[in-house]
Amino acid sequence: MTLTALLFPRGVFMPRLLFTALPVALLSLCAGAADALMLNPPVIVNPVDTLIARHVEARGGSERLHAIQSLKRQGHLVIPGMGMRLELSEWQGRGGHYRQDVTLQGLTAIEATDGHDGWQVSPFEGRKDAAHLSEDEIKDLILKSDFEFPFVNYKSKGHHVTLGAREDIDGTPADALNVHLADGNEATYWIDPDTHMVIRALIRETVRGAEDVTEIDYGEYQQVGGVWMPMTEEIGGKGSDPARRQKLVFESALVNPAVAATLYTFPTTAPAAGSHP
Amino acid sequence: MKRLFLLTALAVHAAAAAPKTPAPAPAAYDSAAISGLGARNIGSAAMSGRIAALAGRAEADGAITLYVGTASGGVWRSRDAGTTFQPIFDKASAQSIGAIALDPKDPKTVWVGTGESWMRNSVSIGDGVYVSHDGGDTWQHKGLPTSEHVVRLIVSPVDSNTVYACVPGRLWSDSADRGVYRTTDGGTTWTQILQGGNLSTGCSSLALDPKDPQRLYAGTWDFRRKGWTFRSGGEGPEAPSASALWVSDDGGAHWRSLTAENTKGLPAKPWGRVEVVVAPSEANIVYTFIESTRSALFRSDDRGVSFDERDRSSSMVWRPFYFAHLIVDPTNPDRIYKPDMRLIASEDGGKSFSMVSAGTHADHHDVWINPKNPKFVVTGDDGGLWISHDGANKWSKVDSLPVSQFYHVTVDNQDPYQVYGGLQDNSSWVGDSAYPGGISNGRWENLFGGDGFWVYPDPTDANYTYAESQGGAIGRVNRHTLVQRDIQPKAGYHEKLRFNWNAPVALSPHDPARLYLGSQFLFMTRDHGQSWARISPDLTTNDPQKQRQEESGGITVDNSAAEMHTTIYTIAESPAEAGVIWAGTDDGNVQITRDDGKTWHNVVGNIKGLPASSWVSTIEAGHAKGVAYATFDRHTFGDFAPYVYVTRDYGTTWTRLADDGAVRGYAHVVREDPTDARLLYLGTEFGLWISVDAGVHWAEFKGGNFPAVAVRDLTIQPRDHDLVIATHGRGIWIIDDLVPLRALAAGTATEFRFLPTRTVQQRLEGNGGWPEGDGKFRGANPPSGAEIAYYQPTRHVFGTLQLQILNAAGEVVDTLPAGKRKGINRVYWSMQSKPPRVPSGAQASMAGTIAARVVPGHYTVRMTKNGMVYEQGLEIGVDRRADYTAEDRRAHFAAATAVAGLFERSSEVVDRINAARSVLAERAQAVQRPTTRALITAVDGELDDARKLVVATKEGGAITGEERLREHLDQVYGALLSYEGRPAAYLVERTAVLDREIAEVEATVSRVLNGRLSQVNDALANEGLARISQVDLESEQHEATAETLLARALSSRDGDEDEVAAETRVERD
Repeated sequence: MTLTALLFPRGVFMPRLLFTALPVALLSLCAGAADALMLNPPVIVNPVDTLIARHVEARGGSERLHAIQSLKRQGHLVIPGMGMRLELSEWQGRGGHYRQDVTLQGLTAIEATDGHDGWQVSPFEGRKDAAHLSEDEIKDLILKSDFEFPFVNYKSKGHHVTLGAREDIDGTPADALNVHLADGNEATYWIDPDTHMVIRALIRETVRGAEDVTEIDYGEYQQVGGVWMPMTEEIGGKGSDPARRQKLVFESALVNPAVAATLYTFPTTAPAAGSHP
Repeated sequence: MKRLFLLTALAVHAAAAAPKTPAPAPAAYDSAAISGLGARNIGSAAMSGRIAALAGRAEADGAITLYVGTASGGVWRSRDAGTTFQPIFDKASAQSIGAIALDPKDPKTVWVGTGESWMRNSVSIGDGVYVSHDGGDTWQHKGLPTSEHVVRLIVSPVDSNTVYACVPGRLWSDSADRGVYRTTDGGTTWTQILQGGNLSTGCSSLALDPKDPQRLYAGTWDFRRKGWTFRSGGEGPEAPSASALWVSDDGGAHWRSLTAENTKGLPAKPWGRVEVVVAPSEANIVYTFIESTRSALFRSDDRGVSFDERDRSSSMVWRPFYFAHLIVDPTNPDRIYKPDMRLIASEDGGKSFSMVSAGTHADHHDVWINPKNPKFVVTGDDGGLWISHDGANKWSKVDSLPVSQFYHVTVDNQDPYQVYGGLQDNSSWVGDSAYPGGISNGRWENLFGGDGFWVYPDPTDANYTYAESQGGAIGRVNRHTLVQRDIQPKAGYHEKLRFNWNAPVALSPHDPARLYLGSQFLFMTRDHGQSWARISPDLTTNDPQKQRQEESGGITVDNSAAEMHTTIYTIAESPAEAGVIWAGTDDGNVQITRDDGKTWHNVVGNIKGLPASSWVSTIEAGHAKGVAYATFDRHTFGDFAPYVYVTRDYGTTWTRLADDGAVRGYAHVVREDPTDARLLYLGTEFGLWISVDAGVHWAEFKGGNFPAVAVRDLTIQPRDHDLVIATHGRGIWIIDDLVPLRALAAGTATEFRFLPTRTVQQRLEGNGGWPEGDGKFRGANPPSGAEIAYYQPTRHVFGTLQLQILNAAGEVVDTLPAGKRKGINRVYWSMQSKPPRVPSGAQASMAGTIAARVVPGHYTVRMTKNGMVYEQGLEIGVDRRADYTAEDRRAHFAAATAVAGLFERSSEVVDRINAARSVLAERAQAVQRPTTRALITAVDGELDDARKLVVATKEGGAITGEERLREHLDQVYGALLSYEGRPAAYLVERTAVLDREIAEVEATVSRVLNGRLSQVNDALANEGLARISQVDLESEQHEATAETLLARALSSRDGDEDEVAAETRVERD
């Protein structure tokens, strides 16, 4: 249930300005700073949910966000230092559906999951048949499938979210949401308090028993289906030099594309991609 | 730079539709404004740094987690038993670590006490206790902010909220904030449960009985350091001292002092440093090391009721203030380790000890033993971290901890330049500022020995360097033979030269042969140390009360030159005027000569508000006449404020530039930018601060995750405009190219603007390095490519932010993503245009994945930011080291472009083949007659044969050995890209050969399409089927070239997606 529904369950009219200001006031109440404004009975507001509600509202509202079942983005992948640009297509769908195609010279590397099984094609060295991914790798792809970000509707996804300290993200003080993912991994998302958009994520995943940490900076948000979606992602290790990060630059985005059911599933026939008959 | 109008409707839409955000406040000059400059750490981990505290845990799954507390470089964590480490404490406001404790009940809770307790002269300070509840990823400050040093933390094994802190307290001043503290609410509040007997006595050790967590043992220690002396215990071996040994049976509520009088076996007082530990596997056994006139190890087998004196060998009692830690094997109460100058170990309960440090550095401070495998032992010493797999007999060095403690740094003018510096207990070194493949540990070379301080390349002879160790021991070192010549000037008749621990050495900016060295006198040589001239009288106060180092040490005499005082500490000759020389002393004098040493004037009295006797840490002679900056370090008086002053009239008047409100930490060094005097760089014990307005405002530099580490020295490489930072705890860092920062000196921008950069070169790109595994530090090179710098007042979140590069003809040659952060951003363009289009084969054509670098010359950078367009010129030059000319580069680019053209033609011919085969396959589905089907099959085969002349098609593995036209092109292209000068004639000839061979295939395909296809069309017509027209072929080919074949396949799967939802498209090109 959204914050709006929680506070105004019977369709009480709420001016937009009030909606924006209300969470701030409620946070102040939580801090014990405004006894005079205490409601009776007191409303206990979880600052985590408040922060998420602001984020969802800023992105376009829960209704529009929920209307999106899947997202397709296309653009290119920039490999730093080598001057390489590869064609990039990415599909994200509810239910843990995810696929990323990276194409170079007509050869397409694929990583995909249907939410259960995961597979890849690595064609650049002469093989185009699909291979299964490990469970740990599938978890990563399922996390990538969540175009909402996992803290949105986190309870229904089985995640647990706590509020972290406000941190300086490259000069922007940002609020941290620590997401304890249902699959056992951890992620932190930093939200710019001015725009309420996610500007950075730190993903801590366990792969073959060892921790694997990835930092992602999100930017260039564009409205897609009425919802603000990041159109650039800069990926590297924690604290890595921006000049040395891989950059995903999306040029187009499409909500709810019609896709074949086989898009995410392990190919039953080879070759999977890129070769001419 | 010019600003253009709104570009695209879509971009306008994005900007206009963005959620309303508060209007940005006027841009402030702050950390965010400058930290986008970034910084890179070049290490090294070859010479690591002092390790002060260790903790570890054997995990249930067999993994080993290690936490390493460094003397001044934060906390590092390894989750792979020491193969790799990550710094996890970089956001904390203090980087000196005294203690680490793991919660026995919660594997995610880690406690850290800041402020190392090995109280040497160069020790840093902490600011209290921190806790992490996520294994060290994030930290909360948890009190005791004035403790300054913490030697041990213990988490109760029965209650995670109960934690004990053993706080030695302040080293340099009196304080009641020391002793044993306890929290029972997870650090929210602390109670002092044991005080020392006076204001200089704190806790030196704390132990908890593992079977009875209410029983505690504590050592208290009376100690004090001054700039010129140190005492562990009282003022002398027999002087009163409040050091003691304590025991409590009620969790610290009440304490009982154990003395020789009430406890059999303990030595008579006075005592110095006291250490006490309980054997984890046998709680009745207690060991204590007590410094006294009969320093020794003592063992109790009855929980401290009585003790038995054990080892008191020289290895056991060596320098107790620096080595006073005991570690008992968790599985064997008789196996004890004592970190000392060498690591010593006993197998017989302390009766005898053997030296077990083998090939480690020296000066050990802590040991961790795997409780599940006591053969796995980790030790930390002044040289870093070491791991043994055989029970502390043989050791491997950890090569991934760049926690080196530099005192000073200099650079030369090689290209790339080299970096020189001396380190605490780790000699003097030279390393590369850049190297193909990265700056591995092996790219650093040891030059001298001892504790390292100043190192200079000899400007008159590149075959030599000057290097220095403690106490002014200076040598001239041959770079090739590494022969060291001792050139330290000697004392005269009945004279003692007083050289500081960190004695100053300086070069003249006017006379490259001139080298200065300071004792209490200023020495100068012009003949490489063959002779020295004294060009000053004693410039210090010559206070005899500060010259009694032979009495230093307290109970145990310790006179290592670390306390030498009344010395010259800093020397600077004015770059604007030869013969104007400044000298600052550790006892508070600021001296100037304006006649090359004939007369000197002490001008410190002109500095209003500066307390007397303030240690002059640096004098920086400004680049204008009469200008000098001085930093004063008063931490030896317990005053940690930064004192930074400037004079513009030869010291007649001074103005204070920074205080506690602007800058944090006592000041070590200030440097004036050689190009713009408004730019000042200030290093303190807690980081780097930069001013762009001559010291009016300061901003802390945090770029590249630069931590709050002590910055002891700074230098600027004038050719490359790099700021090279000597940290005391995290090695050398480099801020590449200060030119964009200088542009801010004219005032912080309030809106987007491009910033100038240093001259862009197409740097030669060598291929170096070799895989060394994951456990080796490798310093980062400067980012490759053409630097593009700009400033934006706020972080860019909504809408397009894109950089385009245009050539002189105004054509877009490349597009690249732009940095989003607030303040200065840097983006690096590879200087490549688009790579050639390569026909798809069985595997990737590797050289063909990249483009040749563009021809040097004039380009334009265009920034599109939410529809606003900004442009700036970009001049690209050839690497100054290159052996070719710009004309050669043009010839190279033309040759590479010619091959790229052949790639394109081969792609086109494959497109034609594929298109024809696709149409044939489609038509074949309707064909009825076998003869027609056979004809189509034959023609298809002929086309496929032609395709197989162009590309290798054998699949199944990387190494097929199959070479066709594409592969031959790739070889030529790769050869061309390997050298950017004039191409070899044979490559040009080979290109022509391949041109002919491609033409042959083109002709073959044309013959098939023009001749054989007409036969197919006749056959199709005979069956009443539609002929294949040129339009069909071109249409199919167009589709084939418009997107990849895979994309086509997916598009067909996507069905009518365009009808499902509107697409958002970002205009980027």
